[in-house]
Amino acid sequence: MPSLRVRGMQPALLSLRNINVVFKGRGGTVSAVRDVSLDITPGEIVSVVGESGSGKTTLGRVAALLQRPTSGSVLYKGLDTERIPERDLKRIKIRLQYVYQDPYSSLNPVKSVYETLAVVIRTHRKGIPESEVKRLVLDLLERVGLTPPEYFLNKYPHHLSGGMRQRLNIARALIPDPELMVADEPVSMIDPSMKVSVLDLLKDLNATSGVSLLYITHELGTIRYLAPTSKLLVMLRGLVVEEGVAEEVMRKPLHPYSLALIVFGSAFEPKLKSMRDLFVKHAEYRGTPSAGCPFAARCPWAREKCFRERPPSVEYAGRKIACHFPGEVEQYW
Amino acid sequence: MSSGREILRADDIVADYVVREGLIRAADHVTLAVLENEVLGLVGESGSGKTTLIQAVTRVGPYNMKVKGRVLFEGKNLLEMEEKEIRRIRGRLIAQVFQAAQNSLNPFIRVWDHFLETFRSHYPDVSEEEVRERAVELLSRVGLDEQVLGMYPHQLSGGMKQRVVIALALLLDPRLVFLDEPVSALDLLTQKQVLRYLLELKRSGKTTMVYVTHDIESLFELADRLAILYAGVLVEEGGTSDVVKEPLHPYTQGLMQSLMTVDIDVSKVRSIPGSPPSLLLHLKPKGCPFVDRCPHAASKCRDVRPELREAERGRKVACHLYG
Repeated sequence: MPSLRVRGMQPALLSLRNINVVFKGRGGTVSAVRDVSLDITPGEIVSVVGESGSGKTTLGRVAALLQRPTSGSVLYKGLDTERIPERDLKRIKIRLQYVYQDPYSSLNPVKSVYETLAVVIRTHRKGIPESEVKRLVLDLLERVGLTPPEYFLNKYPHHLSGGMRQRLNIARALIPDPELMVADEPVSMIDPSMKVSVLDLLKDLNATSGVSLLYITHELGTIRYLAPTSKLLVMLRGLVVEEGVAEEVMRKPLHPYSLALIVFGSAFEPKLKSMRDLFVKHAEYRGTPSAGCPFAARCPWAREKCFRERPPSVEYAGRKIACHFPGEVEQYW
Repeated sequence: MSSGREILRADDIVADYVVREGLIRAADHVTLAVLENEVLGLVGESGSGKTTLIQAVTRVGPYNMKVKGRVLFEGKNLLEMEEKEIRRIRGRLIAQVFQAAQNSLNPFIRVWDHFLETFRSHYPDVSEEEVRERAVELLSRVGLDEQVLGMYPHQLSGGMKQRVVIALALLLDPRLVFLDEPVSALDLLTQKQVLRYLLELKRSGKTTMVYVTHDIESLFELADRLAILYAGVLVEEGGTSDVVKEPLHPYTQGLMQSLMTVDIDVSKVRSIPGSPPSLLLHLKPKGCPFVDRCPHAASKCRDVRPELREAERGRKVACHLYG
């Protein structure tokens, strides 16, 4: 396990150990996260890619201490968060901030930009004089690139584009000086021409203030832009099917699902056409096998064993892979 | 392949929304033709007016939307037609598939009843056998089995529902199908699968489609031509590979540079600075709508709106850089 010791000096800011999250509903139970372990060191960017239903958001909520795992433990700087007294835990939670996907519904439409930020500042710093609040607000707006800041003070969310709203959300998350920001699809609802600049902002904040990022997305290409050297988790149906350094996984995927994400996340390479056809041919929905590999029904290389047995996560070529035939895709790529 | 015959022509379309602050001009003098048997990709970011444009053309916009201009379809102006007359065209000659169309299926009735109801609303006397035959054929064209007819929507996956909706849209053999972000609500693999079926429909050579999306890269394979909208203005129009390989308008150039697919050179990725202008008529730039974000902006761009003009054969651009 690549735990705190392997990384040498840096103890993990947050360690998730064998996390399981099970939701109970009318139609039975859903395992949203299945046996996922993950370390985030201070200043590190960790990326998670997956489609809807992969459990990536639930994992992000566990990391931000917004969701209690059904089993497994969350360690904050080596301490089990279940054993940290409530008062201290509250202080820790404040510094684990969550930036939501939808910049349209995560802002109060009747609050101005100034009020949106001022309310949070006043909450965190009781008794702070109003002149100081204003100075902090201007400073925050400057930091997230809403400039000139004076221009934005009295604007309301409906005056702002999606990109600007997401900057405001990020500014709000910066107020408690966070140690970790969970950025859950922060650019997926933002127009293409403005996505890049929001990712630049996150990159910049990580570099200058050392805030750790847990970047969650369904668009692999954005990880290549934001954090090519980051640790990448590829999730499917609650399981991590491949884990490795982002650019290495993208250069040489070892799990068929990672390969599928790369093939479909590419648009310019004409050579990939036959590969796309292969996956599309196998994409017909045939239910989700409950026992075997979650990708078996859509995997062009699935064999009988894949439908029967869940592949365990094993170390393979410096990665962690959950596939019965790891590396078989190598000959196709 | 397209015959080059115009199947629909929108002429100088202006669509305004009446709001408290004034008028929002979401389609700003758009002129655009759809050619027979082609797939035309209508590309724009949020607020670019792409949905407004197709709503204006088919007259399904909200009550506060005012439309001016002319829409020629089969020699008639759709905008001057009686409501009764256009209702006979919508669904039969012009079909539409909306974003999250899977929600447009009625959860209480089987897929079969959707087909029967749709057919009978235009042809009350049609026999069940005839509808069934047609439904089975269409379902097979989108890769679905006959069994689907006996199912309720909740028994289908998102991709299957979307394909049912596409099959339904094709039921009455429309001349023209509008698809508004038909796959954005689906998973990646499912998206590509639905796109693949649309590609096959196109290859069968009998369907004219207008495909509306903000994802230009999803159209590289499917669309024959692209029309790029920015702030309600049609800024560029041309063959897909031309527009993708050598975009003419500075906005299209910026858009192509901001794509973050897995196979791009990340060192060349750039954001377009700033954000789109307000669409409120009194705030919208008098000249080119892209002027505030354009690296080539000159004083003329601020004062004079560039007209959409032919730059090369089959390519049009609305920019002062091109004469």
